[in-house]
Parts: sequence; structure tokens; C-alpha cells
Amino acid sequence: MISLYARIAGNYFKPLAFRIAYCLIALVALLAAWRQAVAHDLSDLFPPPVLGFFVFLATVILADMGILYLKEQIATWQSSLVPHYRRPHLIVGAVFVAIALCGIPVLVNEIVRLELFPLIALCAVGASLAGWLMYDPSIKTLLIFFAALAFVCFPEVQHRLSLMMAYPVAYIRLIALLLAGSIALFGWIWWQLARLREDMPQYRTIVPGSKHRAMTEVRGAAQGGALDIMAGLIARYPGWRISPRYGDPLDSFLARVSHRRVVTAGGWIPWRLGVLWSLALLLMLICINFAFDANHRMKFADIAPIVFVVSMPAAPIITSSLWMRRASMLPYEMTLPASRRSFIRETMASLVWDYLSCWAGAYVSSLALLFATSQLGHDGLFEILAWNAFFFSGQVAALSIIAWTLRFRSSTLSIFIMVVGSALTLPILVGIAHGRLNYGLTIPIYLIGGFAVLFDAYRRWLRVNFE
Amino acid sequence: MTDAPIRLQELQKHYRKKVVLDGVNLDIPAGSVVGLLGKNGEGKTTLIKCALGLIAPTGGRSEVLGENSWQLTAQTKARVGYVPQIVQLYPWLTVRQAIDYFAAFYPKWNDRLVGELLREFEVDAKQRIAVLSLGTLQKIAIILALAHEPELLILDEPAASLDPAARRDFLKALVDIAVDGKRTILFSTHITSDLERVADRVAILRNGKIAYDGELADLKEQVKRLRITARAPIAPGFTIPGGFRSRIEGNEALISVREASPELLSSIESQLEARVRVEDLNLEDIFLEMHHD
Repeated sequence: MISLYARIAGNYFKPLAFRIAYCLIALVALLAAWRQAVAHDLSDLFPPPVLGFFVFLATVILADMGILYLKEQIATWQSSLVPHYRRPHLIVGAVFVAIALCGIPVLVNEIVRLELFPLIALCAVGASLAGWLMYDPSIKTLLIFFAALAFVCFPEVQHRLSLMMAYPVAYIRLIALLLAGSIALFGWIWWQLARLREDMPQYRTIVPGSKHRAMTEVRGAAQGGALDIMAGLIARYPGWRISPRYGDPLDSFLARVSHRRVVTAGGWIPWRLGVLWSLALLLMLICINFAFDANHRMKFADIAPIVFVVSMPAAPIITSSLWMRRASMLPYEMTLPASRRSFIRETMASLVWDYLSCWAGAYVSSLALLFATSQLGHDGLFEILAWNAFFFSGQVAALSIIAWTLRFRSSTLSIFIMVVGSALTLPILVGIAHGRLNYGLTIPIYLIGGFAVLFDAYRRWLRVNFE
Repeated sequence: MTDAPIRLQELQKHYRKKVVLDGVNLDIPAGSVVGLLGKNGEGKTTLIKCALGLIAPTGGRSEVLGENSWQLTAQTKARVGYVPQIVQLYPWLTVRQAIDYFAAFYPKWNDRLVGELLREFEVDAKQRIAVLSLGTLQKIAIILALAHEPELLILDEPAASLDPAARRDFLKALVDIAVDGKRTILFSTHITSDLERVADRVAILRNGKIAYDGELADLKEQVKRLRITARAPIAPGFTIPGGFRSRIEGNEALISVREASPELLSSIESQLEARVRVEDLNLEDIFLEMHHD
């Protein structure tokens, strides 16, 4: 029996992403040992919130990698047919998540010098929410997840959390509440995993474009839901775009790019999802604002940056999700009449177009609402322009990462690279938080870096093997 | 039409240390129907993908319709039809939408043929791709590959997921398009009976190389099994020229040979004082004999 558990635990050392994560943790442990040797404290270099955020991010990522991997093991035919399959897998998964949640904060505490219990409680909340997203990556869960992120953006919440981190004894009830809530959510996820069946939509949606699932296995789960909505949207899409043009092949670059975008209803799917994303988040923010403000007054000017921040991931998440599905179809499309160079150019142009459609959907809808209801005067015009330029440059950078990683056609690797890429932008976000963002420097760096990566992605796509 | 629509010269493909194709030489004559045979993992799909320019070979050269496979032009691709082993289409499209999407890329498209095949294969064009079975997806891929009436048709295990009725219809369609001798067809399969029904040539892939390439009739004419009954027990290490599989038990031996010439037979008879009976083999037997280690 022990060897069975040990064998299952051994699985958590096999995927490349886990090995990289363990190497990083080992590196941090070495750093901790070095700190003891030279009596340095990282808190001298970085403010505690920044250090705390890094620890939080690392812990949540590792714990949720564990949940995602557990789901990969549970959402298989073996879990239904092999006797005594689920229980040991669920137990080992739970132990892994518990070790990740407690282990990393304990390991790095020597360096970051933060209060352990509130840190673990926050990590548990983050990991359970993201874990729920891993279990059920639907629009509904995504919206709740980002609403929770938006919640943390409020100054009052941040203030309360920083007090909790500084004076854990005084906030012991809040810590206990957070821990209890996250344990309850973990319990719910585990209970759902224990009864996960092939005909449940969660069975299919591990990560978009996952190569581990055969089509027959997802057939039951694919009935109804988002795919039907997409099919309907395409059916309603202007007929001439998808009408066969027998004997009249698409000859111009623009016509071919436009036709390749038929499969995303000419960008209408990402556009609508982008609009929906922003409107739904804005609605949630209004609700949260009601909950916080005793006078129930709408202060859009105050929450404008939050809306921008929250609507920022719309295009990267929606487009990469749609294109991960599309990436698995690209080898077949590659055999259609087009030279390799033309195919790559047209496909990349379709990606860029879809991405911009989605971004425009999220951006225009949030911007329109903000301007329609806020009290912003002309005094804030420069700041508004600077923010817009900054977010646009950020979108270019995110698009370039998607184009670069899409060629691997591996969802796990793409997500990992995107998370690492996002973590690298953390100092910039810290700069924003402290009002010390140098727009003149950051925007060109994002733009030039983004276009350089985009060009490199194009060159690599030209040599890609369509296995 | 090019003499050899597919020409592979010393084609190699390595995945790190694993050698999948180890110097494949293969010329597929125009107008022929060639069956590509090989065990699982022998590299049939890799060979096809190299030929189509989907993956880059590690070494050697691959040409399709006179062009380097890696740099196929749109015009050449329009003359090629392909059915992949695993068919993946956009799950949110309906069958009709998927067909129309692909049709727009081709200068020539026979929509009447599409309609006929949809009827014969009993595929509902209004259904969404996501809810279709693997077999139905394969039928759609076959329709898409045939609809532009390609000069060269490459099929990677096209009938693997088809039911018997659909397989019969598919083979009939294949025979119909091959009958004029203007089209070249390369298809890999495990179902040797299908291959015997439509192929006129066969290429057998073994250990990364082409172990046999030639007319199917010649293969069946050449490869025989000799049933040898000797007066005295036959030595366990007994071999004969051209023999590739032998089973020896006491006075009896079963030996498969590449060519059972009269000289060979009389040589065995005189050497062992034995009676030799020559047995014909069907393609499946030949395949099994050749792949028995």
C-alpha cells in the first residue's frame, strides 16, 4: 500500500514544469542558507509587501500545478474503471497541496521575515480560488476569480490585509475565517474530483487545447454549452464570409486572413467575450463598491485604474484560450493550398486580428462606461492618455508572448511561460502602486520588446514542425 | 504529370537518439496506388508528414510533385489531398461550415462529389463537429481530401475508424478515382485486405528503411513459404539463401523465402533428401512473416 502511495507521489516529479519548480525552490533554499551565512536580510532590499507577494505567487502556482495535475490523473477512464484508483490519488494530491502551502512560506521565512500564519492563510485563499478555476475553467469561475482579484485592489482591503500581516494576534479571527473558507473550498474541489465523470463539462475543460484528451472522451461533455453558442454565432455570421467560393479562390492576403478568421466568426467571438468580460467585471465592482461604501455612491473615478487592470487580462486569456484549441488544428490547415511562409503570415495575422478584436471589446466597453459615468475632468487627460498607452504597450507584450509560446502547442508550457513572463512585470506594477512609473521608459520598452518577440516568433514559426 | 509524384532519397528522421527513418529511398510512380505497410511505430506517419512538409527531415531529401516538400507552393498543395491519422477539425463548426471553410482555399472544388459522399457516408451536414464520432470525422476528412480531385492523394490509415459499410464505400470511392490511372495514391494501413483490394504496389517499412518496394502481385509471386519434409532431422541452424524466417521441428521445416526459384528447390531437395512443397501467402501472411523477429 505504501509503495502505491509512493508511486503516485513519484508522478509529481515527472513533468518538466514540476522539475523546474523544484529547482527554483531549491535555489530559494540555498538563498536562505546564504542569507544566514552573511547575515543579510532581503527585507532590507525589498519592502515586505513585495516579498510577500512573491512568496504568495510561488506558493499558489505550485499548489495549483498540483491541483491541475491531480485533475489530469482523475479525468481519465482509469479513475472510473481501475479499482481503488481515486482515493490514493486524491490523498496524495491533498498532501502535495498541503506541503506546498505550508512548505514554501516556512522555507522562505528565513529570508522574507513575514508572519507565517497570515501568509499561509492568504496563500490558501489564493490557491483554493485558483484551484477552483483549475477544476472548472468556465467563464463563471473566471469572473468570480477576477472579482476576488479586484476585491484585493481596494485600498481598504489592502489596508486590512497589511494590518493582518503585521498584527496576526489581533486579527486571529480573520485569519481563522480565511483558513476555514479556503479549507472548505478545497474540500468542495476534492469532493467534486471524487465524483468527476466523463459526461460532466469539467471533465473536458482541463486546459484549452490539452492534448491528453481523445475526442471520443469529450463527446458527451461537448454537448451544449460554450461550443454550441460559438456554432450559433458563426451560423449567424454574415453568410458571404463562409459561403464556398468554388472556382474563385481567395487570392489577396487580406481575403485569406479574413477567411482564416471565419473559425472565430471573424473575430466576433473574441470581441463579444471581451465586452462581456469587462461589463461583468464592472458590474461586480459596482456591487463590491455598494458593499463597501456606506452611502452607496458610485465612484468610478476611483475604480477606473482597477477596471483597467482587471480588463487587461481579457485579451490574453480569451485569445490564448481560443487559439490553444486552434493550434491543434494547424497541422491539418498547413496542408491547404498556401506556401509555408504565406500560411504562417496569414495565421499570425489572424491571431493578431483576433487579439485586437478581443482587446478592443474589453477596452471600448470599459472605457465607454467609465467616461459615461465618471467625474473625470480635463485635468486628468494626460494621465488617461498615459494609462491607455501603457496598457496598449502591455497588450502588445502579452500578444508577443502568446504568439511565441503558441508554437509549442502545449498548454502547460504556454501557461508556465506566461506566468513567468507576468511575474517579470511585477516590478512595474509595484512602480504603479507607488506612483513611480516612468511612462516614457516603460511604454517604449514594452512596445519594442513586444514587437521584437513577435518578429522572433514569426521566424521560429517558419521552422516549426507540425507534428 | 511528374514521373514520380513522391520521391524520397536517403530520408532520415531522428527524434533525439531515436532513429525513426534511417535513409528511406522510395519513388512512387505516377498513377499507382501504393500501400505503405509497417508495424506500429515504424515511422509510416513520420514518412508521410516528411513528404507533406509538415515536419523537417533530419537528413536526405523529400520531393512531392517535383518540389521540395519543405517549400511546397500553394499551386502544388492544391494538387494534393491528405487524410491525417487523427482528424481534428474545429469543434464549434458544423460539417457544412467546415467543408465550406476548406473549399474556399482550393481553385477547384467538386461540390457534387461532396454531396454524393455525404449521402453515401450518411453524414448529416448540419451536425456540429464536436459531437461527431472518430469514424464520422474520418469520413469528413476523406470527403475534404477527395473534393478538390487531387492528383496525389496521401492517406494515413484512412479506414482505421470506419465501420464496414463506410469502409466499403470509401474503397469504392478510392477505386473510382484511381481507375483512370491519372491519380497517384499513397496510403498507409494495417488492414491488408483493404490494401490487396485497391493497391497495385506496396512499400514495406521496417527498421526505418524500405524493406520492400514493388508491385503487389510481384511480392505475392516472389515471397513463398517452403514446407520441407526431410528423411532425417533437420539441423536447427539450417538456412537457405533468401530465407527470412524459419521454424524447424524434427524432420519438418517451414521457411519463408524472398524467391522460390526452381534451382533453390532442387538444391534443398538434394541437400536434405527432402520433399519441398511451395505454399502461397496472402499479404497479411507475408507481412507477419517479414516482421517476425
